[in-house]
Amino acid sequence: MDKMPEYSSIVPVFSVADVGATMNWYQTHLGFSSDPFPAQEPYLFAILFSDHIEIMLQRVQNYQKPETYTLRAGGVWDAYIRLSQVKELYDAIKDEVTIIKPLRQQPYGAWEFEVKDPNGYVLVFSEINQ
Amino acid sequence: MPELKSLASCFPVADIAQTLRWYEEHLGFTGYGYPPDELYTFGIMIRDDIEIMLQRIGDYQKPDLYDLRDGGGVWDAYIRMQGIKEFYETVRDQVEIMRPLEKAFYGAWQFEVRDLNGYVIVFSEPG
Repeated sequence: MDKMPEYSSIVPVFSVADVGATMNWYQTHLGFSSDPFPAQEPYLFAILFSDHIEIMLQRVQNYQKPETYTLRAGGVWDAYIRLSQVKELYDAIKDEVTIIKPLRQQPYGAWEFEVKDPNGYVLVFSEINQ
Repeated sequence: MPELKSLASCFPVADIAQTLRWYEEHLGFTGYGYPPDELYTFGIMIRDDIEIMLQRIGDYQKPDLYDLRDGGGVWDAYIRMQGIKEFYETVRDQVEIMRPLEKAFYGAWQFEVRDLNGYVIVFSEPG
């Protein structure tokens, strides 16, 4: 523990009422694996992971995320995910999940689309074409 | 196959410029506000391999959820790092510490900071 401090990754932590149902959604639609705690339901906590990214879930009983999306022109996001082959992912999931904004190119060059997860968290998927 | 390469946490905040300054001064981030010459509506903060994005909602006040969970606080972001002990010593007197540096039952060394807007950030290093 005597190395120079260095940040290696950031994981967003989402408060959710039902960790198990959220895990299932991320697995079914986005291909995430999960590591819940404790090992049996009801889960209090879980780590979701896919490729190089992670999302954590914490159980807050009866939690309902406040709707903030419309409070800002351009939307309010919870996580911004950079990936390769955004068009392939979009085509694979667009009929299964709630798309807030379809795949389109932003003025800053990125191809993006926005998904709302079952708890109302907004995920942006983004690719910069080389 | 699509590959998920990196993720940035996104926080709505009322004052982006003030938030950029706080993260630069206390946590060592470099911040960028957009559009550059006007009231910022968007910001990006970068340090090492991580990124946080800020989106402006005028008058936004983050709800305080910290105590709504049994057996531990409610977090907003979890930062994995190295050199946590040294880092803790440099920040502990400058920022609001929700929980001091301690070893969690799963082995990681971690401490919790509440930022100026109320977001709770956990810093963690494998034990």
